[in-house]
Amino acid sequence: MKHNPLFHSLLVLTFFLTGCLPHKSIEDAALVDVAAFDLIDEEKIKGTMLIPQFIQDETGGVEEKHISSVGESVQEIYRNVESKSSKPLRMGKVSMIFFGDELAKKDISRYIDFLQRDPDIGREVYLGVVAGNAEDLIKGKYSKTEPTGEYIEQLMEQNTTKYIPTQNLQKFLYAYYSDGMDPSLPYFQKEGKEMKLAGYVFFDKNKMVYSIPFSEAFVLKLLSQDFKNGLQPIEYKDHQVALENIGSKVKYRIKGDKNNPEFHINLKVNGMVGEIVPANRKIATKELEKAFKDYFTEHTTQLIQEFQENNIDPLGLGEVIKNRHGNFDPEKWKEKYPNIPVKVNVSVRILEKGIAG
Amino acid sequence: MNNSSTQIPENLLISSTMVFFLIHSMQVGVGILGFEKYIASEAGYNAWISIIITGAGLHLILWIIYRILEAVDGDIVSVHTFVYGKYIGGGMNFLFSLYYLLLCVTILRTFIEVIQTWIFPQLPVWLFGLIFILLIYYYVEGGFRVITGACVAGVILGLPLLLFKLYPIQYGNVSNVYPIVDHSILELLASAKGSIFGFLGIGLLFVYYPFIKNKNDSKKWAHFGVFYTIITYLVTAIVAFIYYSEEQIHQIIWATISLWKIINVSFIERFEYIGISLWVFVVIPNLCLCLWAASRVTKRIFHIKQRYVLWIYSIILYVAIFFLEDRRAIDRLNNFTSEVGLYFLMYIPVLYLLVVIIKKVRNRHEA
Repeated sequence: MKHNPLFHSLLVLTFFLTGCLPHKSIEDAALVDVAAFDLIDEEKIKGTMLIPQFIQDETGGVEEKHISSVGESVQEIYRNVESKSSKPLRMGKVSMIFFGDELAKKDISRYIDFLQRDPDIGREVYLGVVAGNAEDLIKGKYSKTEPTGEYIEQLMEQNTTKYIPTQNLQKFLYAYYSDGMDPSLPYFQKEGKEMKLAGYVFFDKNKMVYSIPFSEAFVLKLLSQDFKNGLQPIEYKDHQVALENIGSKVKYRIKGDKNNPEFHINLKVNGMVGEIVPANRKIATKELEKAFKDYFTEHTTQLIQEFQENNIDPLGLGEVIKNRHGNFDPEKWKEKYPNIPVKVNVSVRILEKGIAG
Repeated sequence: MNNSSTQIPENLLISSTMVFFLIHSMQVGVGILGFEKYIASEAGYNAWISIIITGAGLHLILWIIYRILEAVDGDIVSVHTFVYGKYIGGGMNFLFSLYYLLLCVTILRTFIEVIQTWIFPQLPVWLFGLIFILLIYYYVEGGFRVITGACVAGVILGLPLLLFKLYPIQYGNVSNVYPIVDHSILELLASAKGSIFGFLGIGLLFVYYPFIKNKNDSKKWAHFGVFYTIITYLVTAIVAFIYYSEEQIHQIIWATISLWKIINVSFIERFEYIGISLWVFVVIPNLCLCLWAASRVTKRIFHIKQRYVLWIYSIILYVAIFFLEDRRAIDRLNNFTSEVGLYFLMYIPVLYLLVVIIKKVRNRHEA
């Protein structure tokens, strides 16, 4: 094969040509860490972006900048925020997006499209609903050592492993589009100078309709996924007893025929006694197991009843029916759902009692 | 029956094992990045069954291709000349050549679109087209053995990406692929048709068959290649079906790339950038093989130097990608190519029948 010098030089040239595209280096961009959206009136929403700016001196500190703007769509807000920023806005590092509860109650879907369309936005982004004003929440300073964005992200991560169902943008989109499932999101609140995870909220497709307090979220997590973490305190014969979850498994079964399905949810919890107040060595493990079994049975059944009364399906029972039985009709299912019998069979085993007898 | 020009000098031949890479790498390219939506639109989440149906069909077609090529002992040009004679056969061959070029245009433009939407929206097509075409030209100029090498490299470099398929499963719902069949055979077949674009590469065997050293031994490698392709597509589809809800997947243009988004490794926030970059190595051999096949067929028809054909085809390729400006045009091109490819695959059994009949008739005449 003959080598043509002209051809080779052209080939080499192409590598230099790649420099012709606009560069986006980190120092030259405003990397949004957390975003918050609040409803202002019927049409307009206010978006606030939290942008950490790294101070270039030996302290290496981070200064937080908040830019707010008003618009009818996320992109409009984006543009208006850029009009107030010296650097171009980039959403590639966004870790959490909050929606004010007013907005969530009205219609969250209008602000979701942007999140799934922009290739810059990852799928492990957390979403959350805020009691009151989302802007206030992200403007708070919660830690002296950590930047707010990081603080919020770690608060979410920490609690996700223990008390609330795994949630991120992909999970939300999955449920949002699914015919047999409704989305749900964690619920945050600003309390004085602290922020806290206040509970969990549930959507009917695109509108927030129901919420539970944080204390019930653990039960929801037990129903949503297998995991090994978290704890549940209960009251037992004048004692306060806490059970640490060291491994829970949940299985959904359908009994009955196609027209009259019946759900059996089998929930197995393996636990370890974490605390008994006041200390009492005489409580039998068997009794404790029974007490926790009763507690979980009652609370899960109640939770599912509430879901059925509100005609929302955050657990995805519709998906289960659809996958197991086929020929799924979303409209008929929606009519049927509130009256479907759902039975939860809980078994609790206490394997250990810690290092004190 | 031997056509003198199909005899390839020994030093240009490839060993039969390489057929595995040639077959497999040609089938895994841009198609696999977004086929999930197309197959799910007809058969929902039963579409994994259609992949198995397609796979069975492909093994059959591969067997037929080998029968045809063995009967004539040459490439597609010899087959067509044998069946139709010099002029009609030449016309058919030219159609085949254009078909390979069409494949090349589709793959290149689709991949540039991927880069445009995912990484550089401002990317001018002319620039990227130029870089790509120069690179492909360089490979093709190197000859068939170099292209085979590129195929091997492409398959090996694509392997680690397959491992990352395990990651998204933990975010999904495994019961989505519960084996309940609630779609009719017709819907499953329609869905199988939707997946066809990815599998078209099999037809290139018609061109490189004479380059295989031990042709009989290569059969099993070719079947292994197809089998491995089917497994790859099956795993990809099943993981996507677990990860997305059935109604969600219709929203997603490139389900396989979007799936990479959830992968979280500490050294890079956006794994899909790595995935897309690595995918260049997977796509390049596809383009090379198509362009090489297109130019080789034309060379064999008109008995001109392959390099001249290559020049013309490279220019056609470059011009063609300019006319495809937006998503709609590219989507239409993909559908068109799939359609043409489907007819092409359906034509293969017909060709086989023709070869068998003509062989019988001629034998009788000679007897």
